Amino acid sequence: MTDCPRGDMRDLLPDLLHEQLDAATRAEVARHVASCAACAEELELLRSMRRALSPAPHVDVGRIAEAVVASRGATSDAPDVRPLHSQQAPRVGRRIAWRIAAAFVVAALALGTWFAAQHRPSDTPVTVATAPTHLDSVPPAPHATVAPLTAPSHSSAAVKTPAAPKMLASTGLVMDGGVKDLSDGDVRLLLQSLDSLSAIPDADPTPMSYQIGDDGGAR
Amino acid sequence: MTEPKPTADEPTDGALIARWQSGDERAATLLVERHATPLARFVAGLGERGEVEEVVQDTFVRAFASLDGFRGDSSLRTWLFTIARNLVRDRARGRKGARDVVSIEEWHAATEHDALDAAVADETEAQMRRAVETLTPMQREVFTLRVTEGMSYKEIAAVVSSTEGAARVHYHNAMRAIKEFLDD
Repeated sequence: MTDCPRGDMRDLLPDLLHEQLDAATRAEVARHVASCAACAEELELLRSMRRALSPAPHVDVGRIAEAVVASRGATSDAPDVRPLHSQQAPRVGRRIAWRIAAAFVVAALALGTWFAAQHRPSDTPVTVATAPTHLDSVPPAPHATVAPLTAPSHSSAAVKTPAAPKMLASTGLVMDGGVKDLSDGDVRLLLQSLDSLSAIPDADPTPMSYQIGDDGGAR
Repeated sequence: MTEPKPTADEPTDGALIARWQSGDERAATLLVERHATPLARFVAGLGERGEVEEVVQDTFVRAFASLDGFRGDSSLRTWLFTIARNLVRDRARGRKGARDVVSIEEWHAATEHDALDAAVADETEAQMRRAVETLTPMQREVFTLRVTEGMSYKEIAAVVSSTEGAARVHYHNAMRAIKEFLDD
């Protein structure tokens, strides 16, 4: 068997066989087949092939239809076998039911928490955190500054427990530390106090010399 | 065979699907009556042995179970053929150690259908069925859908998960192979 060079015509031969062409195309193909031995032969082969392959095994249509209907009943809960309009209502209903159930759970948890708080032993401090109602209007906490856990090494003296201050009864000065810690005014006040002492020992005291450091402290 | 075309008095596939979805069980029967025989022929042509009705029934059950997923951009017939083809392939994969394809001659000999007995008696037609058996599975599917069912290349491409161009090539290769077989 030879093949017709008109591939477009050969493509349409099965459609001609099944009468699926419009009138104009069918007439055109029919004219070609009438003048083309290869296409006429191929069309006849197609017709024979169709006849040879057409017999179909018998199937029980009624039984198949019953199976289809039965499967619909068996899977009536499956959402994909029901029509769209009948699916919407159950889906919405299930959604609402889930929300109601969730609301009940939340309410039960809240009630349980409140009940437990009410019956907690009195010696146990109860901390109730309340969220601020207006965050923007809440001023910063007055003690918001957090002290460092470890003091810097250069100020290690600060962590020492200070000794009880010593007060000079006559001057009203508080001696907390040494002379170096006194300010200029304090030092002058101290000297004046010393000058005013009446009970001065006979032996001349060693002359005192002192300097005022840059930081104002006596050295 | 060509696509079952409803007459003016018969409802279309789409109308029957709508009726089925609204609860009309009679619509299912009409759809099964319309498509069962072409499906059985196609399934048998793919070499399914003795379980054609089971495959056809499974095809319809699966199709009806997911009709809501049917987009309608292809015909119901194409969709049914696609399901049937996949079922046959799945069953063939599941039959390990057994022959997954039976010759068309064997299938015709195994049936008790009178028309088939007459067809088997026809040596010419028997020779043509043997010619189809020499085709590759894809060529056989494409050729059967094109010649026996009258599907367009577009429909065939949808059924066999291919392209129109590839379907056309498979068809012409099948035609050439059949001619060569018959010429020998």
